[in-house]
Amino acid sequence: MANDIFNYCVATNTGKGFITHDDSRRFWISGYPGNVWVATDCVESRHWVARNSGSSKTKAEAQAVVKGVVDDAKDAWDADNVDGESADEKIARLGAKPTEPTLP
Amino acid sequence: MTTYREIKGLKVPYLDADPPSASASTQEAQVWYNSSTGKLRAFVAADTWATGNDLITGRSELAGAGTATAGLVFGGEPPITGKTEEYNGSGWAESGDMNTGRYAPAGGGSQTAAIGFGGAASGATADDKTETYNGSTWTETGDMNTARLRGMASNAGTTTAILSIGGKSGTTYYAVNEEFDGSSWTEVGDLNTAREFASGMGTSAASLVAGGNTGSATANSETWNGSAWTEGNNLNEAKKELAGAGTTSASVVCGGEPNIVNTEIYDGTSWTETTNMSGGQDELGAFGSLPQMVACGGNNPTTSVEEFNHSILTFTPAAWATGGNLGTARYTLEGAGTQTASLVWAGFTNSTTITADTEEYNGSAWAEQNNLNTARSYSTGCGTQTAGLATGGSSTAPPATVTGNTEEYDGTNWTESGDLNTARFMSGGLGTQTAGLVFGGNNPLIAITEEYNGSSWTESGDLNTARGMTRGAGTQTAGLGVAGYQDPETFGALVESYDGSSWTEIADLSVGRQNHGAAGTTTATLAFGGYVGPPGYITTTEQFDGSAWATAPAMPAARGHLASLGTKALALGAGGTPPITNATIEFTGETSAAEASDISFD
Repeated sequence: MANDIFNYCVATNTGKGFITHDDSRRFWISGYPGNVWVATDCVESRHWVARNSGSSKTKAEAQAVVKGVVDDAKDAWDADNVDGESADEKIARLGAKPTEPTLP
Repeated sequence: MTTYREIKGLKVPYLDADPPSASASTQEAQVWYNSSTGKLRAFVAADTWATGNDLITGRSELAGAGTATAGLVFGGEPPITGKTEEYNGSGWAESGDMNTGRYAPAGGGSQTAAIGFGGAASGATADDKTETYNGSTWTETGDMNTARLRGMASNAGTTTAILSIGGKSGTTYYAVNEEFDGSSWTEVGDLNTAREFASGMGTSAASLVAGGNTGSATANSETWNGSAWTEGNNLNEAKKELAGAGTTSASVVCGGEPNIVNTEIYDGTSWTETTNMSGGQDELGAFGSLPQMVACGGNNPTTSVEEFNHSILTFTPAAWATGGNLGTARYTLEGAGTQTASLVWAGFTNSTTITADTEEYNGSAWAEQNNLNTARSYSTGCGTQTAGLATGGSSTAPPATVTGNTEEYDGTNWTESGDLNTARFMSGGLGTQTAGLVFGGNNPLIAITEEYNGSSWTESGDLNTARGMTRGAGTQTAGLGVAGYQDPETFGALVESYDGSSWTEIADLSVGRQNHGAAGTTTATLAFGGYVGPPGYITTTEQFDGSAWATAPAMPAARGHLASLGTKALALGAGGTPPITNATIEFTGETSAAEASDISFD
């Protein structure tokens, strides 16, 4: 994967059939916040984007979508406090504070 | 005319349908008459390549040893590495590094007794160092007489009998051949044609070298009889930087520069082209033999792995897929059942709202059911879709009100049963509605274990290590406690096995985690996703065979705090975060099946 070229898109996970086992076997695919999906660029993954009515993005555009969603989630996490709640209790209640992943 | 009965000693069976592909009698060239189709049928072996699980560390110019179900790779670049990985037939696990990181070493042996030699620790200056591997660590032993990189080995050899064949140092191609006896190297008969980047196969007594770089790619092959090399039939295609494995009577070579997909089989006399790799590679590594070989890594570098099989079986690799979305997105939910008959309940629907919502899954869609009597987050559960058990958790948020409340599900309704002796949340659970187990948890962090008999809970042996946000798999008499939170700084990789009364530490996960998923039994377990501390949630999946953990295909998206259930072969994860999701993911393990073919008389 180290030298792979990827395609980037925004697509909503519609459930069963969105990613099939055969899709996973044919190409690497990984999801990120903001319904951003990154897949190894090949004919099959381009068909997958079309099948799922995905909106193709450049890497920079896709990263910007992720950043926007994660920044909002960080702000919401910081603002969501309960009197007397410890740091561990906050993480248990909310999950860990979101971090922005860097797209491959 | 010779009859089938005279050849096989059997009549051709007259069957209404093809025999089951997995039956004990399934074998190559088995012939029968299918009365439904009116055809003579047979299982016929074919050569296939299937994608395997990626190497943990992508690399080129690596060496391989062992079999396709117990393999080993070591060395490579870039960067130059001594990293060693073990393959169990489906996934990889890291092991001890070589003492000297190097690229382009040669080697052979087995997964528990391997040898690596030559290569280069930097630049193009070859190394003469030799190391042996005992299944966990590398130890330096006698140096080669002539330092070489990109040389070959008789890679079906052993740590006490193996050849170091050819190679290069600087601009010099070598024909030198040295034999190792377990402590030192001795020069023996030279190759007829000096070369590097070829494929070496066989043993120290009967070896085969094919292809390579002599200044340009060559198709030349030579065989070694224990004292001298003799030229044999050429490969069909000249190639260098290829890989191969096997013996002087049954070998496979594949790949080569530039990104060649071509594969050839050697039958002891000649080379025959067969099914191509799906992705061409050069500077790759290989181990195994006919009928099974693994090719991995390659130039760039890559983590890619392909498995070659000459078999009547067609192998379908393990993979994740999305399933039907939950009706209610949530995290810290719990689940029970199988991939096609699942049950989930409870969880947070947002940071301040917990739910009693229950849903059933039929393999494609979720349907709402009657709610739990007590809404909760971080509960623990086990059982089936028609006989589920939910216990513990936090019944308020925030702040948490930890409960020992237990409820049983009968496929329609939840009914309260006996409370846990120690109220807790974030614990692990496993078993059935009449033989359940809960262990660990938080309130504060505990190691306490309790067994459920269908009506009440009884304390049993404590975990060796207290933990929360952990997961269980298996039964009340043969269970696993997989990873979990030990303290704020430790994202535990600890795994413990329960025998019905006490816990024993066994092999750790490769990646410590909490709030992950787990499914299966003590001898066939899947662990997936979870939280690992900064940078956050992971897609990493690991599989356990009863003795060691190995890699498995990564989840399609990173998440933790999800419900997990099912088996290692058919697992399911539902819900989770981040962000709070209604997504379901389904894992299907590797499968194989024999495909029957018509016998044509045309």
